[in-house]
Amino acid sequence: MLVVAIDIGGTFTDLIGFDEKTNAFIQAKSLTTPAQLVQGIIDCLNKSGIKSDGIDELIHGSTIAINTLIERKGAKTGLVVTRGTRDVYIIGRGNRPEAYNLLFHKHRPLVSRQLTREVEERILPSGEVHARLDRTSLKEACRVLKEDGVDAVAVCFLHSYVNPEHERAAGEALREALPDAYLSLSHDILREYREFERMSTTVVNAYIGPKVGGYVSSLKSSLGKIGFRGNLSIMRSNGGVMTPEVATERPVAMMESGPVGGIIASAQVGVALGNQNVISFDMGGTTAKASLIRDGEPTLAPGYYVGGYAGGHPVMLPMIDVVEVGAGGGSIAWIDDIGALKVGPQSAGADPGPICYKGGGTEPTITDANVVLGRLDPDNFLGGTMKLDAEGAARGIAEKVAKPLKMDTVAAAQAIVDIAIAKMSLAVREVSVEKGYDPRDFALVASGGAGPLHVIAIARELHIPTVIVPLFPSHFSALGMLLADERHDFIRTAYSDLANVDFAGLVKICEEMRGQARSSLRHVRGAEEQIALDLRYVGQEFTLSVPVTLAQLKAGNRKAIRQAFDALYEHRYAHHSPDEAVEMVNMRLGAIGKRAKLAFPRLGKGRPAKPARHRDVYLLDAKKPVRCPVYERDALAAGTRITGPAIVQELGTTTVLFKGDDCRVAPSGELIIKVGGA
Amino acid sequence: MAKARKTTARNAKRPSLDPVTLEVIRNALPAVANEMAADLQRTSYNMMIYEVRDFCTALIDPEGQLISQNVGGVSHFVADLGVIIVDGMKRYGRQGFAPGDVIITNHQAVAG
Repeated sequence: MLVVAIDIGGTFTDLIGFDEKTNAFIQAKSLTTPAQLVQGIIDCLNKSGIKSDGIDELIHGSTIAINTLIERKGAKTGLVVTRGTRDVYIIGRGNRPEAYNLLFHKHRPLVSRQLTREVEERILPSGEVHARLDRTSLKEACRVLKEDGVDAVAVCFLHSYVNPEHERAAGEALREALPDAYLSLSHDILREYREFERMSTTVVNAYIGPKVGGYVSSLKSSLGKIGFRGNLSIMRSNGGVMTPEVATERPVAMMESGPVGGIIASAQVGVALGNQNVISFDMGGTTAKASLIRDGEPTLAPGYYVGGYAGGHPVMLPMIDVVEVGAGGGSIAWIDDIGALKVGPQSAGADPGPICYKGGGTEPTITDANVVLGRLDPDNFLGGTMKLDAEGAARGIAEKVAKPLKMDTVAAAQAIVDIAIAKMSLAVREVSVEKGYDPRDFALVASGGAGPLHVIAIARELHIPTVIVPLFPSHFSALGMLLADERHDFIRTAYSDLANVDFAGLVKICEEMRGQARSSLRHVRGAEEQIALDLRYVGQEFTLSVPVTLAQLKAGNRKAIRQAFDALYEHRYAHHSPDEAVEMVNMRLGAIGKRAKLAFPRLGKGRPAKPARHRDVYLLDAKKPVRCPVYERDALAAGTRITGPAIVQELGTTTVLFKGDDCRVAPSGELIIKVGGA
Repeated sequence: MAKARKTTARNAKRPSLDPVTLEVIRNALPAVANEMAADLQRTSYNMMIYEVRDFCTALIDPEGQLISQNVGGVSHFVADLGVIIVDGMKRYGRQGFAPGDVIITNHQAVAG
């Protein structure tokens, strides 16, 4: 079986494939082509030398969804709502997340009030129809949206999560009136109560839909044209994959499609090496991301706010928790109004890219600084396929940073890297120290093209004793995609007292969701199902998700469910109330389609490592370079020991070891570094 | 208790706390206050608490001095925090508590 994963980042498009027949990996990397992402994928496939018709499965992750939203480059979107709820989406929540921020700004709506149209209809929380859908007002809404030339329409009616009948009918009318518009019906996206969050999730889906949906279908047809006949899967924010059909319908589910791959892979590498608790650190060309993994499992949040809680867009779909900062290889160093040196968040990206890429970039970046410091070898970047312009990098740093700050060029380069390290350390702190976890109890797994280059300095800053540089660090997100299972999450609001709950009705809802899951899953055989009920004591607002079995629901085992809730409540809050009445709010179903597990090869034992050459590198002292042995990672056998200062080079990344660092090569190939001075 | 206090005082004089432990504790203290707030909000039966967040949680020392306070609630409740701890200490004394004890107060002369 030949499985290939392709991950599009802000700067590079990464490809990794694993061929079970030959037991070998294939990797390729090319610059991301923001204007023609699909062409970039095809180019990367061609570059890898893989024959498209031989691929059994291709998994793809992309930042297109989140970039479309953050850069506000989505479609002109209309919103159709129940009469009287026109301003729900614009007003949002009434609480004050930042009470003392004078410049606070709530979310900026993606749909204007003018394009939000009301329709006469009303369904009650019980699902009962209170007022029939009025065709005249629906026609009027269609007419206005058509005249205004919207490219996408979101429909979100009150209580449509219980009874979607009216939403479906409105959908049909809209499809007829605006056949070319992208349509999102709230009950297809999220069947959970809470008006603003449900509306926001549906609107985000519609807003990014035409662009992301168009991208997925053009990818599918372009792959078909070059002979690809296998299965195409798209990475989603919950750590699973989905079919292109599901992705086209629910593009909002691929919001964090890019970074989650690396987190899944970090968790698996940690478990394989006996480290259940690791922090995943991924530094690419545009941003650095950190995520905490406890007991071998990434942390899953039930929903999140794209752009932050205070002013962001709520998207209520499960996603892996990750903290991101604007520091990547392409982050630009600049001098602010008061003469202070800043790094990022602006990135030179892939186009024009850092100065040393010779793509027309004129602003000095973190990558340029690393070239000046000798940490990156200009003749050996991407295995020598891309020559870097070291003189250009030095000139850029001298002119734009060193001269205005009256510094030496090397010292300026060092300062750029130091600032980036401080910034990225903050992200690692945010997922650990700031949540009360001691980073010293975790190992840091470094990935991304720029991760291993900076990770030791971050580990030193936070006193993290162990750093793991996995196999294929610069293709790590793609590697994680090779390992990911298929996963779909469904939710239904089903409000009832637990004492009077209609179990037959619950089983029916559950079967509906299972049917939906089966039609979305490709790997139906052996699929795993996780059912949970969101329960709370009567009078409360927040719930706990209590895992239950289908058998418990079928048998109406109220007592077992109640006990499980009390026990979970006790575990979570250290008290519970066995005499209080319990009510149910939602039912959840997670459907996990198991993909075939790949068995990766192990490294052979070999002779002790010999450095390929030596190079002068500025490490801690910007005045005096250190003569460092340079090792080729491909030549390292299992059990090899390297002590710092040293450089380990491989395709796509460079690991920098400082004095006192002790590196050992694991039998499965990872570099395990005991950090000196941590 | 007296013995424990002596040890604390001795440690305070010695600047031997390593910088990482210092940072972990410095961040853990506000995290404790924030976690109390999250738990209060998530377990509350009252709309003013779970929706509007009309409350504040804090860690206070026995002298009524603020150590850390949650963010995202109503922070000007800081005015009421120290005085009720001092009042509670006066009523029950340093030895008057066991783990898990809760004091509920609604004393207008103390906290207004």
